[in-house]
Amino acid sequence: MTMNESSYIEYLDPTGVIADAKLVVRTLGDLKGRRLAFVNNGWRSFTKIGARMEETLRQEYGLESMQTYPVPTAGPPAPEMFDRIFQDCDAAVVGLAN
Amino acid sequence: MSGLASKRFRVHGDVRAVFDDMYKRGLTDGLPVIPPTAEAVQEMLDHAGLEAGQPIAEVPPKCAVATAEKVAINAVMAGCLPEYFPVVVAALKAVVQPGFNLLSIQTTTNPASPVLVVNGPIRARLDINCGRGCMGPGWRANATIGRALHLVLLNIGDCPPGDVDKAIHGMPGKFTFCFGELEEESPWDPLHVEMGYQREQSTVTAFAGQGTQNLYATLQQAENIIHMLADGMRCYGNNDFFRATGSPLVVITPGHAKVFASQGWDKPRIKAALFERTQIPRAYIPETQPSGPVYADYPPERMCQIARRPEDIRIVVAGGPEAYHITYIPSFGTNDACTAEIIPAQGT
Repeated sequence: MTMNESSYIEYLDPTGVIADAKLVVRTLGDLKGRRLAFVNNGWRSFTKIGARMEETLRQEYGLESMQTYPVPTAGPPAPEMFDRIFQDCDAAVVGLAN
Repeated sequence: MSGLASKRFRVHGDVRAVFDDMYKRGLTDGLPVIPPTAEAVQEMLDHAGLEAGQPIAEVPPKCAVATAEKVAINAVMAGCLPEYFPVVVAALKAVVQPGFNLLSIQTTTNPASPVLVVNGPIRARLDINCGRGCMGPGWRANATIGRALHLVLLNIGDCPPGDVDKAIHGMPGKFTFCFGELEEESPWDPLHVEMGYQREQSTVTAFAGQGTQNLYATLQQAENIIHMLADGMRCYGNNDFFRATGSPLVVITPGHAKVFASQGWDKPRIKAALFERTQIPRAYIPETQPSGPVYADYPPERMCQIARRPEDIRIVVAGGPEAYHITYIPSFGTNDACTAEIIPAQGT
């Protein structure tokens, strides 16, 4: 019983917790001399963000190159595209819908 | 109750103080909640025969594990009876299927929300409203099962409205949206049989709905009803037309179903007619949409479609008996209707 003479109620936290915080991708440490994949699903705002991002990452973080990989606006990209990214790039930035 | 692992908050005062406390912590949908005490949560778990720590799903965007305990906490908050809990669990299993695309639905600017359709014998046992007013207020099962799922998505998925949930306007269905199919008044196979289940099984099917559109179809000729319905559905502003990735839902009354059946129309014929008559020529749609070049590769004469195939238009029979109104529920697009079986609670 959670109510007693002093009239309090004890309730359980409904929020979720991530049981095992695990790293799902390797980290780079820094971007100097790195090649970045920009996976763009065609949303115009994301195209603008990409242009600004490349400029900043090149000037301030020494990024060597950023290659844009267009993917369908509504649907998965071809698996071969991922193979090319794995082969040609050190990291990727992925756009998510709107 | 020793198996319950959730953090506990102690609030001095009555249930109003608990609601105030939970509201301030961002744990509610804004409506009052039942305090999820350990006793109430344990009762929910016991009824379903689930262990507290049993994982049910990962809920995006946080991708936290929704254990049975966490789902039960949210179900208590929503006002569910313990008997409803297996339906809530099944609803969660439906929306986390990859085809449902829950991450996008949780975080989009669109007014997208899971719409739950319950099928099978459990509808009668739980008094799930399938008839008049089934999408509206007045039935505890409809109201609280849908609400429980939304609280799970809010609290376990960590998706507060206005913050992570970017919906521009939102929609009332984000509080709750759950009803049953009136299978007994339908001349056709019910939805869950179409989805590959047996009629004797109980299921929840989740649609990613974007509101409801009423069509005042007091017509007695099937051809005329199809004409009006297709006119209402043919709207390229609906995401269903987002490169034919929709899974639209049409809810017709038993009265309309009888009209169709008596004039030789079955579900496949209705779907085929709607699929054909809702198509829109590419040239009719502005070439530059703010969301991007959705149809840039379509020649002007190509037809844009509401779904990939006629079968992806779902028809459910529900509501009052009169052949007056049809409800069309356009979908978020880029999502499938997904079904999960309801595993009956012990002893039911």
